[in-house]
Amino acid sequence: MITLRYLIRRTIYMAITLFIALTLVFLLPRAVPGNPVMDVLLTKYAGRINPYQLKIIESELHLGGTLWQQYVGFWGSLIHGNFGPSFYYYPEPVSQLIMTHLPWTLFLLGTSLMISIVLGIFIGSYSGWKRGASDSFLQGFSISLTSVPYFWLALIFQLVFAVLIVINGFHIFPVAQGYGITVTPGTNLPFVLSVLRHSALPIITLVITSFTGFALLMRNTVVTVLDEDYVLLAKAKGLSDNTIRKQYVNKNARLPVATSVALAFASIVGGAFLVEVVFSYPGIGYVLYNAVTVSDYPLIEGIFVMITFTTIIANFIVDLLYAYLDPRVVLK
Amino acid sequence: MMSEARAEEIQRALASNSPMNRFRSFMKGVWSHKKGRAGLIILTALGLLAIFGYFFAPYSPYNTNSLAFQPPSYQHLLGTDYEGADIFSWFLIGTGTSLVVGLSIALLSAFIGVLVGVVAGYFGRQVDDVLMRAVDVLLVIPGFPLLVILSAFLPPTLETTIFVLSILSWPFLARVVRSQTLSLKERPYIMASKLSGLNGMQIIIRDILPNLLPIIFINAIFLAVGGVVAQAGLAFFGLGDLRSVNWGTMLYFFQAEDGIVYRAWWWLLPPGLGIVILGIGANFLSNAIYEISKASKGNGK
Amino acid sequence: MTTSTIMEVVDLSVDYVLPDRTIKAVSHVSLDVNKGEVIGIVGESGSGKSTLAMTFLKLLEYPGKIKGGKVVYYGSEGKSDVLKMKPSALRKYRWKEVSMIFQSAMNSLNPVMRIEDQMGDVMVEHGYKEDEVDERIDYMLQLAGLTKNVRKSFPHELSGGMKQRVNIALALSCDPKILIADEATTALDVVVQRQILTRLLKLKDDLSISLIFITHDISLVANIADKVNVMYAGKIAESGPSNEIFDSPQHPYTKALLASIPSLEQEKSVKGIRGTPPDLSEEIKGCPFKDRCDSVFDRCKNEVPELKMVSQGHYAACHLYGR
Repeated sequence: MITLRYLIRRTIYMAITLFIALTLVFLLPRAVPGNPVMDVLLTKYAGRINPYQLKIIESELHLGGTLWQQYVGFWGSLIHGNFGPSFYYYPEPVSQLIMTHLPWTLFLLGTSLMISIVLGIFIGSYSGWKRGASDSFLQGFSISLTSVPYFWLALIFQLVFAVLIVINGFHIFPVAQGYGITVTPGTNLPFVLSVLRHSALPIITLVITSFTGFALLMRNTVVTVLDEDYVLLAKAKGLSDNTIRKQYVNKNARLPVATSVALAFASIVGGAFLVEVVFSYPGIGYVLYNAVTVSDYPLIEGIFVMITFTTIIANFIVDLLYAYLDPRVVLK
Repeated sequence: MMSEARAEEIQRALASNSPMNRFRSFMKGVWSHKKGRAGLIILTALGLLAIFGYFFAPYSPYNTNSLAFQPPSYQHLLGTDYEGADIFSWFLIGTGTSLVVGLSIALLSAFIGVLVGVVAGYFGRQVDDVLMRAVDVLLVIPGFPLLVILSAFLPPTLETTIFVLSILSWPFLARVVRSQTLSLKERPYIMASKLSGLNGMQIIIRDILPNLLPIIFINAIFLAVGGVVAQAGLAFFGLGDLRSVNWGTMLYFFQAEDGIVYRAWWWLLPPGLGIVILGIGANFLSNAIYEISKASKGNGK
Repeated sequence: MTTSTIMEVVDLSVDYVLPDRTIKAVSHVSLDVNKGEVIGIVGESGSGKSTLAMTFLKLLEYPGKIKGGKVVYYGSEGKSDVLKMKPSALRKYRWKEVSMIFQSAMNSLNPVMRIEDQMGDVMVEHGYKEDEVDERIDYMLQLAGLTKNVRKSFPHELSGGMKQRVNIALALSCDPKILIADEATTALDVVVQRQILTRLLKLKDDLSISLIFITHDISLVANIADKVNVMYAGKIAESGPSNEIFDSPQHPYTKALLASIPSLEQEKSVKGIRGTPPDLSEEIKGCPFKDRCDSVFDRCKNEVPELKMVSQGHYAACHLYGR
């Protein structure tokens, strides 16, 4: 059940979080001695951006005037979704760049997270239900995977499946990029197939490193739920194992998994960014990596704001989902 | 399973006053635990490598007189990188840097986390409200992008990396410590200490912190491992001090200098395996500590 | 057995096999259930009465283990040993022939399913048709004294008494021949307890089912049971027609149980039973009740008493009776 009071409270809370994140973005470059933004503009981009453009950028990024004037101007721009121009891709606006690349990251994140959750629930449920061999396999697998860095695994997969293994002169997966050079982006089959083939390794990497968390949690709750009286009653009713598992065990055991998705989301974002770098995948992470390399500060700031916003919204959705899955939950 | 006798021994040791005694019998307990021993051996081996690796490195990591991208051989046990530097030497020296960074992060963030958690849990009310709101906000903001933006604006040094990662790592520990403190606060002996006129800080130091030690220790282990991984991730992203020799910069240069194209597996495997082994060791040790402290608590009742 | 016997428990023994010890939860228990009869099984917690009930549905799980004996069910297709049923036969038998109201009725409803779905799935499983199921849900809820709108509820929206009634409706939903009620009213307050009991007994008469009533409270079965079995330390200490058990109890344990009932009518002193039941993981020498018994004598210390007939249909396991 969801009350209006909850929606209002939640909105205020999200606004506060966003406000803090944005104020940080505003203060950070201004708190560091010798404003690095201007510094970079004057040194790195000296030849590429002329003095006239420099003046425009300075005003668009609100780098002049008193701190208060800058702050007001900063918010004024943000409300219009304006993060200023990118340095490197000048004069393309940051918001434009983000919009071009965000769908790639959302696709990568969404697909990996979905597969991880489904796989985790499936394997965890099986392992908790059966115990024995599958159980110890899951434990061993997850212990050896817990600290494997996403990007290192991505590099290993890239080396093995896109470089070392060659079948009839072909590689199983492409080394990098979001789609092949022979296809034209758009709603055509060759493009879609090419995108899928190019996303396969990044998605596999993300899934392998994140599903064990869900699987272990699911396993542990299944073991607890199996001892519940309502499961005993379900057995006494003569229901089939399949029904008991689906309707009685899994429906209850997946609830803690749903709560964990919010935290997992925050951590998988970082993983996805690094994996994008490995595969030169044209998502936000790869753009951010390039922005860091060329000190494109407006782009870095814009991406940070965008991702924070996305995460906050994702958290909100998870909360709503949880209320939907568990009738006992009252969001107020 | 934990034998009752051992649990009792540990319980007795925890009750005795000398910290040295406590530590010794605690270690004894861990050592006689199968996983605990495996964890200790792994971590000690890595620790020794970190301390003495520098002296055993056959080359300077900046010695680029050999041919680039050579596979492992007698001259270069782990081959050479894009400049012809010896990867074995990089690994030995890099282990030290990576572990020092991890430990520093663990110490600093454990300090902040414990402080915030204990203060919020013990003093409660508005203090608790304000601190926990801050924790909530920090937990919601996605960590990695925040790390990137902080590192991008601050000077690219190892100190920055340690500082930034510590600032972002403590909230989880703070929550754990807070909830533990809340339950400890209601115990009779702490009530007794209060009545005997000790002030809040004295009670925290004398009665609360010692009880939290196992859980702080376990979390610190994971903070250290997490720190090593996160530093490697940041370095891989081109952030922090790229001139420093560590596991992260090894992977950064592998990526940036097209190690993949040269199929230089000898360059890719060592830093990653280092991290994985560290993680396994930490997992074993923390599992053991968890089981031991649970067993001794169960017995103490 | 007689022609009207519907279930027969023969020499049943159940152990709980733990890594370091084995607990003899039920030892050599035999009893009959006749059609339309109310059987009371009375005992303290740990006496094995709930374990016994679980075997009627073959619900015992690790570490519980059947050591011997039979649970024979006389169904429409002849008799069969429940403990030897194949999984498919067992699933048909459960709930359709014998259903149960569990000890912890508060927690025996699935928190994330609507009441109608929890009642519906079992009926569908046992072959009722869709439209029939829908009607039956309303009917059963009504029988249990609930209104129709309960069907759309989730368990957490109901009170303890209502949940208990839902459990009754659920237990009756497939027209079982035997209904087992394991401490079915213990968690409820006295008023609701009375209502539920009355409801159960009326249903028993209307639907002509057998009722096995398991409780620690001997006063509860006094009015309702036809036959009573008193269990102690996994064994039957005394069994017989309910009026005989209450008017002339023979076993010292039964006497002690009856003496511990607080009474409103008489000014009698309520006496608890001293001591605790024996540890069932250890070998018990002689009578299991000997350490708590007021009439203990030499023979009790060495020889295990067998169940012996004290009058027609009335048995007691005590050395004071029979030779």
